[in-house]
Amino acid sequence: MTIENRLNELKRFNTTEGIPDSFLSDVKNEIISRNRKRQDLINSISAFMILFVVGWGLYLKNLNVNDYDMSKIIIDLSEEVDSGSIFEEEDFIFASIDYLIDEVDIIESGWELIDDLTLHDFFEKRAMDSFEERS
Amino acid sequence: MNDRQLVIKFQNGEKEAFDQLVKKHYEQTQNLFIGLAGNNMDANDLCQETFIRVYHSLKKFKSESKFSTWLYRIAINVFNSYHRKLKVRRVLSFEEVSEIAKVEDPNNSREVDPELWDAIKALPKKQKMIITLRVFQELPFKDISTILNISENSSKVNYHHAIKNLKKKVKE
Repeated sequence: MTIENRLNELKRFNTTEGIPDSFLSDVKNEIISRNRKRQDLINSISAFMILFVVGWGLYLKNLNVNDYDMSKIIIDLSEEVDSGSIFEEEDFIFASIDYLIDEVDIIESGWELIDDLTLHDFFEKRAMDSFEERS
Repeated sequence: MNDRQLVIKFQNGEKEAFDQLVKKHYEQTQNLFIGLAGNNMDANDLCQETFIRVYHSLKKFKSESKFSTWLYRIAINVFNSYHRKLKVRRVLSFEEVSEIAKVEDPNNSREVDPELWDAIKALPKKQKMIITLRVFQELPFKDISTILNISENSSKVNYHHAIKNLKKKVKE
């Protein structure tokens, strides 16, 4: 028997006749089931997207509040430094004057000159007074 | 009512037309898969999968080719997916999955000529498809080439290679 004849013989036994009663309903049920699964998947993705957007919005909102809090802290800190300064207002003025005077030679020498002159006048006056008293 | 009219009816929203298409083409599709998969159980699953895909794609079908040719192309794609999955299962389980199916299938037509069945099963996939389409479905080479997306000559050459291989494997 040739291979072609054997194949034809095989074909005779390899045929399905008639559609089973359940086949069409199985196909339809499977289509419905897959459509439902696809719809569930779409719903899940939509729900996830909504949650993600809401979550992202909340995150951004929190981020802004945090920024605001941080700026408040910085302001508070700067105020704290000012109020907690080692210089009282009066001390600060004197310290500033000292700084300016110490740093400027002309003024310093000017003050020394004034001081010298004042002392000189003072001693001269004292000497004159004591001389007058003795005489 | 012919296939074209049924397709148009379905595309116009008459879902019952699909039932008629299934009833009309069930046998040829089932027989194709029995030839390709080698057992009724897998053939039934593959047939079901094919008609589910047909249902989802039928609205896009433009009737540029025959409905049966288009159906065969879908069936071949379904079989290719099945073949890939079977390969993965074989690799993962280290066993002959088809052999298990063969034993479990009560309506197996392999009893007729098991030697020839095994020889067909052992053919390269393309040759097996061509033998099934040519011998079991009695399709002309022109249709086979359209279904498998190859040239007509290529389908003829593959068919002759398949016959040659079968002759080598079975005693005439």
